[in-house]
Amino acid sequence: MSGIERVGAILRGFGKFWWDFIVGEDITLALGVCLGLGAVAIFHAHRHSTWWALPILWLIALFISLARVLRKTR
Amino acid sequence: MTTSVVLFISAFFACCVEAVEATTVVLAVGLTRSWRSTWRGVLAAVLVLIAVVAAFGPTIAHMPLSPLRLVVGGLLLVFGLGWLRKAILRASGYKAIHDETAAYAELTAKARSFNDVSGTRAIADDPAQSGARWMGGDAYSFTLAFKSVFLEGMEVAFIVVTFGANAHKVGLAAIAAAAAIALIVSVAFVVRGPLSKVPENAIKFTVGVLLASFGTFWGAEGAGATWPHSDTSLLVLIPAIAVVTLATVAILRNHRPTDKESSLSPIVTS
Repeated sequence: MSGIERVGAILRGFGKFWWDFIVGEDITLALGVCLGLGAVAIFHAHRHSTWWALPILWLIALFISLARVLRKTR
Repeated sequence: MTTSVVLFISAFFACCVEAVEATTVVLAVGLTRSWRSTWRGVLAAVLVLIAVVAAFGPTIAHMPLSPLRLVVGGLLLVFGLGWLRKAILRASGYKAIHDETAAYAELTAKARSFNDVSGTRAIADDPAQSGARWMGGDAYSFTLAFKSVFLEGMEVAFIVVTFGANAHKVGLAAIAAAAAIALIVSVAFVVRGPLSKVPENAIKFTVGVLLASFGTFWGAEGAGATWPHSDTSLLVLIPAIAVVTLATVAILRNHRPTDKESSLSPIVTS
């Protein structure tokens, strides 16, 4: 294994570790949280306080994630 | 006061769950192979964790409050939802309950099966699997102990640092984590076996609800929202999330196919 390949493998491993650590088994939850935070920030920029947008969007993401598991088991 | 109590409970229980899982691995390799190398692995992992916390802790604590709440709230929420998802699937029977006794039996069998002259090229390439001698010790024990303590510890270190920094109580969170580790390690070494009686799923459920609640509260605040009645809204948010989670478990239980219909294999997962 050459030096560049070794560095590439280390960087890939480093990236994979953080991906697994933060995103975990299902990206849906992280996406739901990002969308929720984004929605709150956009509404705030238009002078609306929409605290409810975050829990609603992450709840939808959680249900989608659970539904995927259920579909696999049927 | 409420935040301090919740912070202590979250850090303590999160640490208990991770400590139980790490202790199972440490006991399995220590009792079947080499205590000396196992301890070295544990010590190395603890030192790396201390270095990570020392490097990132003060940086996080000095961030301006709004971006801190946005980033930390978002991350706590992602972690909390991951814990809740796992707890819901286990409680409703869609995922096998983490069985420390089975995990311990599997680990000890694996640890016994690898010896210094073991097999194939693929195994021999990996010092952790071949049981190679390394720094006068057993590489298998060192690597396994290091990996388990570091990986389980990272999650706890992250919760302690971010939760603590956001509430300006890193010291309290660290005390809670240390108390949990001391309790689990003491019990494990008295029992000298896997801690199968710890209700891991119930603890994971509680911590998941708390992390999701605080993550939602801080994340939305960091993104610019104003909660009705400020901090008091947490007293509604925490029970509301708990109720929704319990209702989801009840609904999923009712819709679960029987074992014959289900393709789910009863595997033990982390």
